[in-house]
Amino acid sequence: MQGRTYRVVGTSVPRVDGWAKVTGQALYTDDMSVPGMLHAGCVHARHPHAIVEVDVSAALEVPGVVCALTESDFPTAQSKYDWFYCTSHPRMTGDVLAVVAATSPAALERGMAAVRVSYHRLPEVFSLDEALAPGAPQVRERGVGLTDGVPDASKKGNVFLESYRPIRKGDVETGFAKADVVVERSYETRYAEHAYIEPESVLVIPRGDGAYVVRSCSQHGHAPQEFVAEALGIPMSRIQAVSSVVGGSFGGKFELVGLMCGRAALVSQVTGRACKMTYSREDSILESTKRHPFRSTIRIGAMRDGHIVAYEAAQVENGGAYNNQAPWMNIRAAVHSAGPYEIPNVRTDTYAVYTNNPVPGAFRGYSSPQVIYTNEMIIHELAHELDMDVVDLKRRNLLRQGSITATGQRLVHETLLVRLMDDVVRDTDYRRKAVEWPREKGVWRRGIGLVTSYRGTALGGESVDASGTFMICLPDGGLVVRPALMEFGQGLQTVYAQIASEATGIAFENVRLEPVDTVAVADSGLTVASRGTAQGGQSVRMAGEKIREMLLETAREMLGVTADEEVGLHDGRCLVVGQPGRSVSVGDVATTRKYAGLPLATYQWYVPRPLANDFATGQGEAFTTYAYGACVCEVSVNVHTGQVAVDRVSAYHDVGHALNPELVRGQIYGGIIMGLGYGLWEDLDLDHGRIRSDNLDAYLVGTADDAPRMNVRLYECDDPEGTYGAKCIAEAGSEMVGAAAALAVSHAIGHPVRSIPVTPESVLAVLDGGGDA
Amino acid sequence: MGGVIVNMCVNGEDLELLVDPTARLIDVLREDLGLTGTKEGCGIGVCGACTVLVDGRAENACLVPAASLDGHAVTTVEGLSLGGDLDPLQSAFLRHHAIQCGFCTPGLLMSARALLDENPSPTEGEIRTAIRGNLCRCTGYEQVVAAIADVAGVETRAVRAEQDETRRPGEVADEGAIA
Amino acid sequence: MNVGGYLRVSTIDEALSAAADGAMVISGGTDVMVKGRDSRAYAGRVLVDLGQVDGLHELVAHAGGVEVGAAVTLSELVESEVACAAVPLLVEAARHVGSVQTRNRATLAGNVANACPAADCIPALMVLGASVCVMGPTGEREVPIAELFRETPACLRHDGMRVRTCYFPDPATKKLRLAPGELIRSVRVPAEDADERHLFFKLTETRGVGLGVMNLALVGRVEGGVVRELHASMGGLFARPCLIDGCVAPVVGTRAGSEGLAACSALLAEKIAAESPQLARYAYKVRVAPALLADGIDALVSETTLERCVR
Repeated sequence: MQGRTYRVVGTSVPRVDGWAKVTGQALYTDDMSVPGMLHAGCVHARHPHAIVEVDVSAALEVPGVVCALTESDFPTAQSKYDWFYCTSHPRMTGDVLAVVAATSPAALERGMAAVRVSYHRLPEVFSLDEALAPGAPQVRERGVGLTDGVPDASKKGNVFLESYRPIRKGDVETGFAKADVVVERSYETRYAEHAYIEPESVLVIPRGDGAYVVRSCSQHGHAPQEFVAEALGIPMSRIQAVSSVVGGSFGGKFELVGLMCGRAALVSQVTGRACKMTYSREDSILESTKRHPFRSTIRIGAMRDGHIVAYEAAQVENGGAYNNQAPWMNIRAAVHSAGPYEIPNVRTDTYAVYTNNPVPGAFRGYSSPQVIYTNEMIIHELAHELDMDVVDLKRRNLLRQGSITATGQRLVHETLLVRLMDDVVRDTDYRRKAVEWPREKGVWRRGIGLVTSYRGTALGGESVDASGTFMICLPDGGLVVRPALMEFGQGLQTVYAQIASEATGIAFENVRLEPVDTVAVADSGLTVASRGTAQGGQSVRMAGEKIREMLLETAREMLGVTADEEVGLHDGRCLVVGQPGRSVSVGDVATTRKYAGLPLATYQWYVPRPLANDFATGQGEAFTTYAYGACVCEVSVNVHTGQVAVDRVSAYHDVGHALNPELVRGQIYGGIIMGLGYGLWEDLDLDHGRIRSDNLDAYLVGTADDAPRMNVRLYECDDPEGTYGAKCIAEAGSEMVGAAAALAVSHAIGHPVRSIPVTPESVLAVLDGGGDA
Repeated sequence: MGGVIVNMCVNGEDLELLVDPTARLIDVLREDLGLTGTKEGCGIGVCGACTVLVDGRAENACLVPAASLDGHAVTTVEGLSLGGDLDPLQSAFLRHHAIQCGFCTPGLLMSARALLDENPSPTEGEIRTAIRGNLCRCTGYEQVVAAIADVAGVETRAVRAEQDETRRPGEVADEGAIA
Repeated sequence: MNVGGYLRVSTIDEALSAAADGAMVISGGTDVMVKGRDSRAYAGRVLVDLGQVDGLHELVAHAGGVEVGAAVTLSELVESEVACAAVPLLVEAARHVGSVQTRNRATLAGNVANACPAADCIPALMVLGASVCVMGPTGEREVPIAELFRETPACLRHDGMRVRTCYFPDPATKKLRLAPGELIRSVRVPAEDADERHLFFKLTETRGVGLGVMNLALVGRVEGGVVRELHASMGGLFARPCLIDGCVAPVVGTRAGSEGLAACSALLAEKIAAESPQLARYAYKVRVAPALLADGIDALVSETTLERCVR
């Protein structure tokens, strides 16, 4: 940035993995087979809470069944990530009671059907109210109680203590005391399912010396190594995990895939054979992680002129029976709890509650879709109470460069938020529609909703956003990049090839990205938080610059340049600046180095600057920088049937620097459909801990015919924090849209919508009763 | 249960296969023939990841009994680029960035191929209806529709959307409402 | 599939022989292939596929209308010029079934034989007065569609009425009035008259390929703005496919103004309350179906559409 021109980053080069995907050659885990391989599957609990007796004797009699494992067969039944590889005390319907392996899928199915389970039912709780009621059954031993809305370790209960994250800024009581208007509301969101089109699949291959190779669709290339070591009780060095092509993840392919690797590995260890475990869609929906349902009770206070002076919220999540993510997710939920506004007094409490429900985890946004919905909804209700245009209310309070956030962080970089809002409001003719559309009559009523948001880029203070990259320059001038972060559709391999090409000067076509492999680089954490480009790309850049240094050092010698002559390196050639006749190919340089015994490879590790945050108050520098967005959704609601047709979504995003604009747009288009699903169509239909929408005929993912007109606009700014100025888009591209759709519906029907998804039933309930949805 | 002989033409090659009478076409393609481009996403004919052409018609391979295909022709995604050259649709998907995770891509390509074979100049609505049975969780379908429209030589709003510019602050904004 | 076997036959006699032996008859098989994922559904049973049988692939003109052979796919129906001219309402309904992929394999006869209360083709066949040609051990007979279905109250409680979770793996004798060993050879549909209008609407939450929440088929005659004749059927509401002509009687002979439409709505609401109190999503359906019926009649009379164009 700052006027720098780039050669490769910033252009929409085609995907490096595109050819394999369009020809059907790309190998996803289930596409792989090895001789003698066994097929394994899991028997899941049918009741949410019970002690069980599992009898596998009949299963073992089925021809083709080679082994059937239960809890006692597992060296470690419970993973350190809280879930169980195999249990005899299921706490949710996704819990695994037995693992069966057979020589064919048909034999496996017969074997699993022959496993006999007897259940001794135990008390169950499902809703937040049930779980928080005095004397409620304890879902987990470690659960604690509450005192004055804050987790209290001295009491027993169902609150997940480690998930608690408070924000204390200023003094809300003073703020509320002076406020002219105070609005208090409660909002709810529900479970959502990732529904990546590729169901989970893992393949474990023994190497014959007590070691294993693991291929899987994990979102964290290194995780299978950790899980298998844990499940088998063997050293991690005996496990090599190599990532396959992954068919989408959105945050979901971590815990479950790790557990599946452990289970398949135990089968492999016991039988000495390779073992593949591929889930059906039903098993995938049953056991995989979900988006946390939130119940947020918010109190907001403002002056007559619209200045917001106090914000108080309790953000309470249904945490399911096991929970690994809430402690980290709630950092983000707390940091963003008061929305993209400068508010002097903020007091929020965020925590998860254990229940006998399927387990929530990380899902695109990582609390932002929920928090944005609840926050934007109350902002609109506040505008209504103030009798003020919501655009004016926002303009009065939105964060700008120099603003102090809810965590006391000053925004030092360019902050485009107001500009984005003004542009989208203007381009969609928002103000006129906001006033005129409620006057329309007829069966189809139009509505328009506006959302403004901000998003802390990458991991921030959640955990150290460090990563490594290994790079090799080949004697023919090609470059091999061994990254630590994963491609699962977002285009990370392509962007890394661009960054590597930009940094080294080697032509983009000659850059080869290899899968994430535990023998190549150290564990750099999950590919989450939209960190892959902005932060993960830094080590790619550093490695590329190191390679460039090596090549230039030798090129200078080969070209015989003098001290004041400059050598450039781009498109695979080293040339003396201003004298294009004096040049040498990177291949020749690399070959020279090879024969001179000079290094041609580098391993670079990037560590971001440390961010300090105080736990008790949540105050500090939460993220290195923020990305901003504004979204307008326009809908038509049928007041007879409750159907919602989405007419248009306009999504304006500050992405810092779009390293590949078409990839960025693709993320936003996809994010819009996923966000609309979250706001309108996707309902897991949980009934006493049982998921009723357990395949895609019931869990409705948006189709090409559901897509509205989409207007996407990318903005760039000068922000030095991320790789070549990039911020993030993967989660930003989806997080605003559900809220925007809900707001548009509430505008169409003239009443707030206080829970999502907004189903036809809830639309009619609101229209009928004028009551809360 | 004994196998049945099925004479099937797969990607232009006449094959005599001994198949399990209860096998689905998707099982024969993936397990017996090693054609793993056709994917299973739901097993119930909703997601379309297993779309193949049967006698030129798009069908979900997870719902077709393999034994019913005696005397019929099947084309999979691998059959689109026989001889090494990409089908125009495959090239268009690459050009338009119509792929992300790629798991739905083979099915989408087959539905698009079937559409254009039957209707070379579809409207945007016809394109979207033709691919309605192919679920994609990544792309939002916009660049997919643009790719198909490009091959068909028709204008769609998705193609126009690709003209949205990336803008730096300080540059003069494009005033006025969006079409 | 989890079935006992799959039998290929090329003549109707072979098919009948297999059916008499207890084979499960399919045509296209898209419903059965889904239900067959449950290993209990067809354990030990053989599937016999009419899709390969000579003579069942034809869609021909018949007595002014059409006769659709059991192996004719929904796509073939939709693309047939004969059908589009004679029975456009049926074509419109068929167009709404599933996706292109489903319609390329699923058959009209199969849609009838599956007898789902939420099926899209059945309400259209009801209002058009269709019939099915049944063949069996005792010979051939023609059964009016209105007499083909049994009442299956269990289906009312089936949330979503999805084929994957259908309570009836083999509807032939449980949901249809077929004797053991009988199969549907063809569906006969009388032509719509030149001066008849029709409307088909499928209420869905998304434009996905699943079953609708409910659907509506109307056919009638409107002259000078006055409704002369009107037949109606709605799916997703009752334990047995039925005509609801009694509910639309108030508008016959009128201009279908708001009073008449309100009367129709009230009659339908009463009928649902009386016959389907255990219906899944009852509160929603008993409120929406009557409104949909009124809106549908109004659209038919005013020659507008219930569809909402997004682009």
